[in-house]
Amino acid sequence: MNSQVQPHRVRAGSAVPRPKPRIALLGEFSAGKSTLANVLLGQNVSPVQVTATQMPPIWYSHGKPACTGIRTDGSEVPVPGANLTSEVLDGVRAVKVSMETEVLQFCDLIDMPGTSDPNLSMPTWEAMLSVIDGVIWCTPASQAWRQSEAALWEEVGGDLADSSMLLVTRMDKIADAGNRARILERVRRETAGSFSTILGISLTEALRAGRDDALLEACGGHAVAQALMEMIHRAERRAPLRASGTGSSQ
Amino acid sequence: MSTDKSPNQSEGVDTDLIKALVGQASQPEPSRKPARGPRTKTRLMVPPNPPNLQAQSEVESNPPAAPPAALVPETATHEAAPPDAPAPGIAPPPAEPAPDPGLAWLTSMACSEGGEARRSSLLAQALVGFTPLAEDLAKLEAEARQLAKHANPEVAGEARRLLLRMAEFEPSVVMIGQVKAGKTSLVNAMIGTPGLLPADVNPWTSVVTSLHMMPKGKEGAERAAFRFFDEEAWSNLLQRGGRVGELANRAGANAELEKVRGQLEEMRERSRQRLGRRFEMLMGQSHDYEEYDQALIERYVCLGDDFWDRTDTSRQRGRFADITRSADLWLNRRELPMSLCIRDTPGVNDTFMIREQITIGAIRGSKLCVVVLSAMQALSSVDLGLIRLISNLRSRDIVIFVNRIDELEDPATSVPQIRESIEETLARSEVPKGVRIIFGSGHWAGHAFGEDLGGIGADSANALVSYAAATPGPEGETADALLWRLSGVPELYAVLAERVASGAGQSFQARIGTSLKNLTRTIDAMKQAAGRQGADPIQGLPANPPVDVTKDIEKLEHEAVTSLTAQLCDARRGFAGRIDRARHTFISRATAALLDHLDRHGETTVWSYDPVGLRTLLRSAFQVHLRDMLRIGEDMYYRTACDLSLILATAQGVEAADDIVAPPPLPEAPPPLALGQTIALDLRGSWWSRFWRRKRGYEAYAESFAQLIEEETSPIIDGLCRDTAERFEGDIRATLIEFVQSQGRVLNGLSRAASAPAVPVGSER
Repeated sequence: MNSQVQPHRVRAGSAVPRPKPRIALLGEFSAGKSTLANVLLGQNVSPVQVTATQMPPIWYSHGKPACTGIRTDGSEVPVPGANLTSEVLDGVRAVKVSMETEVLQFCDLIDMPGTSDPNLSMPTWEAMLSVIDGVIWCTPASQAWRQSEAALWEEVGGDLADSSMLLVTRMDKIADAGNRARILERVRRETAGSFSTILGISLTEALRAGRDDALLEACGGHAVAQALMEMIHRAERRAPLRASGTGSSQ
Repeated sequence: MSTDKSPNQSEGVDTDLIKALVGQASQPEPSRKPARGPRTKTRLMVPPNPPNLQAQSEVESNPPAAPPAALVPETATHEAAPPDAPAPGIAPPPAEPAPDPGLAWLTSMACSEGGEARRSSLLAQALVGFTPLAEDLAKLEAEARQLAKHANPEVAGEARRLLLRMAEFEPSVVMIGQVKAGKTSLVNAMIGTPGLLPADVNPWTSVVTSLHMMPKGKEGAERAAFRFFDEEAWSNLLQRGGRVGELANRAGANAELEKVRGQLEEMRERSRQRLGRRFEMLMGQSHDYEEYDQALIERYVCLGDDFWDRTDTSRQRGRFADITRSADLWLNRRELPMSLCIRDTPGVNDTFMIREQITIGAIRGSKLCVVVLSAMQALSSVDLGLIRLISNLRSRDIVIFVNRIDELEDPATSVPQIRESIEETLARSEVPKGVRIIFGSGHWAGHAFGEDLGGIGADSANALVSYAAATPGPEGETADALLWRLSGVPELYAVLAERVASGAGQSFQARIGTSLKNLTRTIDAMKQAAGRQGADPIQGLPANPPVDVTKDIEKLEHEAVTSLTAQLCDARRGFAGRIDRARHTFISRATAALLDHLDRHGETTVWSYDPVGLRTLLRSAFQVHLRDMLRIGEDMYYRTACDLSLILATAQGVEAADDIVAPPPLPEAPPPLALGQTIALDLRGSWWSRFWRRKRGYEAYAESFAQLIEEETSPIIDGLCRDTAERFEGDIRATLIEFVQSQGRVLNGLSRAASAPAVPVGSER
């Protein structure tokens, strides 16, 4: 691989089967990204913590169960049992997890480090962001959509706007339905079309809901699943276009 | 690049790609913007895009092209409940609360009688820490009251002046934090009236609200005053320096000021349209009310989400909020041993950035700050930016309150983790050591007063159970007392009481104490003189011929002030010289590092240099200046006190002693807040790399770098000189003048009295 590669344009020519869309889970730390990953993957893989985790980006794709840490120099570290503790991850800049989970048949998921973490190294974050096809941005209902998020999305959102979802998490913390609607209303107005979908969800309830359709419907899980599938389809439809437009990646 | 293969074999692809990304990221790249082709920027604040919104509202009714295959339920069922998920059945959907262990436990507990009695006892218990200071102040007050009854009108007048100052003494606490950190709810609970200040799920407070609590013995009308903006105050919102966005390295920080300006223009235009001709009339005015209620407050304070497109029902709500600059509310709190003011500020990091600017303005004049964080996201980079902004306060003047712990799943486990994480981050950053961190919940505190403790909600009750088990309270604690204790409010008040006592309280006590002492000593000296010369008031013969010391006092005042001013002026020149040297030292060090970098790496890699050294140099220069000023002031006060003693002795013909009058304590030095301002070097983001990329050639780098430092440090130095040093000079001078004049008044008065037989000298009744 050429070291001067422009990652955003690492795309196959039209002759080769295109890769699955890559959906990044973004947001500030403790906004629910890892919980969302766990909900989508249906497993408790992504470590969830109450503080900023300093976890490297975790790239989930479909395949035989395996977990590998990747260091700056490109060397690989096997992570037995996908046990993502800080000792194991020392020096690791990214983690690749393969699983045979349904959602990964349609897309790759990248659980990104939370922004607004005073200890976050932005370069890794930016590099990862440059190769993705869709975004689910998590923002907690109780402090939804602050300037630090709005300004960052304005800088990096750009042409991702049409395959992006703003997910207002922790809706269960807002007791009153009218208030939940008002939060979504304000966020909708403030983001002014820079996300293609805006939804609310209670992720803890989605985790608890299991297979209970009614509960999933109530907590917002169904709507999110639908919106994600739409996003994947949009990304797939757009991908050939992108590839032909940027054939420079040789 | 034939790396892409079929999905089944794509593992290698991703791994290679990830390696490339990781490798690329390890190159120095200070720019936040990913290197990639041109993108169309999506602006905020543009009208919503109707097609998009419509599309999303139709998601549920119109199934997408491919069925979603029940993504979540399908996969979720393969696993048992995740280990860290709470036990099933703990929290049903919030719409219909069902029997619940936490709530059941809480409601099974004994509870003290509700209503006013409980509120009063909880508040009194939390505020007990203010008692020692209140008692000390009460002693001084009693002393002053005695002197205020003195037969001599000048003495009584001086004593009354001191009493007035004591009545006005009101330490204040400023509550700052990010938008929706729960400041307002916490403040409401702290003052014992949940719901007094309007709080909402969306950002709502837009005004600095000062709550003046009047203690027992100082009760008065519960009135309100709302002050409106004027042109000057508005333009102050846009002043340069100390911006949170920059300190927090928030994206787009360098363009923020323009945005604020735009928002301000828009806001003013709207108010102008809404208020019509009244708009101009209201500028700079204030509205005063003899009483207030929530609806009235909402008219002035609430600038909420539904404000712009409000319906007729809420016409009054927020009517003046966009032009209101500050709100002052007075309330009687008999539980409080002494006066206290709590300031609630609008949140920072709101997309409506005017709120942030208003808060920064409020911080400027404050001494004691509580930074309110949300436990769900404790100490983000914006919080840290806020702490940096006030970090030139002493650490005892900063308290961190981690609010909303009731929203944590398991506070017993999480609270120690959060504490550790905050302490680690603080240790790594340039903030004072020893900042106190308190955990709590304004939500719990607010409900402790209420009849229905179950109102805290099921999840919140479970969190409470978990936290209560980890932090056991006294035997036989009632449910409300438990809620109140775990809310952290009593602990917060205890720390605040301690900080007030050792800070503002102590220096105020010293000032009043010295004034009172000088007053009694002067009286005693006169008494002594009268006694020695055998003055006989009955005979009506003057003990001494009437002496008018006015001239002496005026001369002394003039000489002392002139000398003080000259010395301070010298000190200021020395300060300017030190600042210049500090700047040059930094520039030459940094330029050497810059040239070294250019030699080694050339111009293509961006160089950065830590400005900590510059701040350290400036700070130490300032501290030397501060010490100089303090020494000059102390010296001058002492000499003046001697001179005053001498005038007194001469006038009364008593033995000359230079320690009759004690010098007043020095005023408190203001913190060098200007050092918290951001300069370009602080910005690792796009601004700096643009600066870097524009330059070509060694000479150009070195030269424009020096110029940059020159330009960037001027506002800091201006701030240090004007706002801090000159203000302090003024304080030193004012204290001196006040000291000489009040002594002069007393001396004259007593001297006249000594010559007037009818009034027995030294009568204290």
